[in-house]
Amino acid sequence: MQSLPLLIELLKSYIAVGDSDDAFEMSEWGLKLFPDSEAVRDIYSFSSRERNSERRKRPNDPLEPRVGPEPLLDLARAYLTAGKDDNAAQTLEKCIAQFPHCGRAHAELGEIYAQRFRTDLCSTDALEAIRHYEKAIAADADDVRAKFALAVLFLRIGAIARSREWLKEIVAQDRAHVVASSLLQVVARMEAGSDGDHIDSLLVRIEERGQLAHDYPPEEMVGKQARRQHSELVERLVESLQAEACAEEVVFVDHDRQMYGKQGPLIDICNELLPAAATAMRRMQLGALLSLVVETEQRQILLQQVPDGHIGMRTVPGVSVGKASLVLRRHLESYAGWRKT
Amino acid sequence: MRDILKRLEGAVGVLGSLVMTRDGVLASSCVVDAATADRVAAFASTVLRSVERKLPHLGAGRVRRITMLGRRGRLLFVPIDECVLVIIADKDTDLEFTLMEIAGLANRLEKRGRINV
Repeated sequence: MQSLPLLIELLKSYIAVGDSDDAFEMSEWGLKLFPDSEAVRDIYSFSSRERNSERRKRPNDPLEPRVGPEPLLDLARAYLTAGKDDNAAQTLEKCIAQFPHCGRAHAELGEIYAQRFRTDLCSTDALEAIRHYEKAIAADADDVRAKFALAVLFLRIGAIARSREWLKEIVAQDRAHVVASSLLQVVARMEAGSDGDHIDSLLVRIEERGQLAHDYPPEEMVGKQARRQHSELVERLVESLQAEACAEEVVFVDHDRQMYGKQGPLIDICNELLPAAATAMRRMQLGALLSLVVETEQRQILLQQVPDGHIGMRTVPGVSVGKASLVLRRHLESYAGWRKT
Repeated sequence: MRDILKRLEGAVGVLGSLVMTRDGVLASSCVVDAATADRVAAFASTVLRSVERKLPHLGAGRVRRITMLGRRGRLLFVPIDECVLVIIADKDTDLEFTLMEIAGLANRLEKRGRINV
C-alpha cells in the first residue's frame, strides 16, 4: 500500500470501530512509509494511548470482541436519559456479558441498582449494587466515582465502618474531593448500630422499618432549616385537603412518626397497616408501597406514600375511589410544587 | 371460584391469582411459586383482619376491594363470600374490565350460596 490517503482512511476506519490494536500496528508501519505525515502520527499517538488504556482496564481476556464496550455504554446512557432504567440495565448486562472487565458498565449498573434500592428498599437491589460497584473498582482502581457511590450506599445501609473506610481511601487518593472529605467528617462522628457492619441484618432492618439507615446528604451537611420548613408545608397540605367536601378525615405521618391532623381511627390504620404492607410488598419484589386503597360499601380509605412520609384520607359516604384519588392527587401536586419552591 | 381463577389465568397484566379462606388457608392458586402463594395468603389474611377490625370505627361498611400499589406491581384482595380472591398484577395495566367480570361472577356465586374451591 503506497497511497497515503487510502492508509489514512483505513486507519480512521479502525479507530471508528474501536480496533485500537490494528490501528496502532498499521499506523506504526505507516509512519515508516510516510514519516512526515502528521495525520498518521496523530493516529499512531491516539491508538497507542487507547490501546494502553484498554489493556489496563481489560488485562487478560482473549475472548473479548475487538469492538469496544462504548457503543453499548452509550446506548445504556441514552436509555437512562430517557428514563428507561430497565432497558438501560438490560443493555449494561449485555455489555458485561461481552466485556466482563468493563468497569464503567459495572459502575453504571451498580448505580441503577442503588437507585432502585433507594426508592424500593429491596435488599436484593442493595446487594446487587454492592456487587457491581466492587467489580467496577476491581476493574479500575482509580474509579473514584464508583468508590464514592459505594461509600454513600454503605452509609444509607448503615454500614458506617465500611462507608468510612471507602471515604478515607477516596480522600487519600484525591485530596481535592471536597464532598468526600466533608462527608468523611460527618461519618467519622457517627456510631455503628448494634448490627455493626453485618450487611444482611442491616438490610432486613431497613426492609422492616421502611426507611434507610441514613440519608445522603446527611442533615449535618445540608443544615436543619429544611426540617422546619417541611413541617409548615405538611400542615398546609393537611389543612387544604381537610377543607375538601369529600374528605372526612385527613392525617399525615412523617418518617419520624410525627403526626399531623386530628387524632382519629384513621391514624391507627396508618400505623398498623402501612409498615406491614410496605415490608410485604418489598419482600414480594413488588417494589416500594406507593398507595393502599380500601374500598368499602360506604366510604373509601386512601393511604398514600409521599416523599416525607404518608398521608391518609377517609372520605364522606358516597364518594367514589376515582373522585377521592383525583382530589388527593391534585393536593399532592400542589404540595410537590411547594416543596420545590 | 375455579371459573374466576380460570378467567384470570392469562388475563393481560395479571401475574398470578389465588383463593384463600379468610383465615389465610390457601384453597387454590395460579401462582408459579408455591412459597410465594403461601406468603401472599398469610399476608392477605393479616391485612384483611386488621382492616375489618378497624372498619366499624371508621363508619365504613363491608370491604369491597383492597388495592396495594407498589413501584413494580400490584396486589388486590377481593372478598367473595367466605373466601378472598387475591390477584397479583403488574403496575400499569388497567384491570377494571377484568375486575368487573370477576365481580359479576362473584355476585352469581354469592347468590347461589355456594363456593367450590
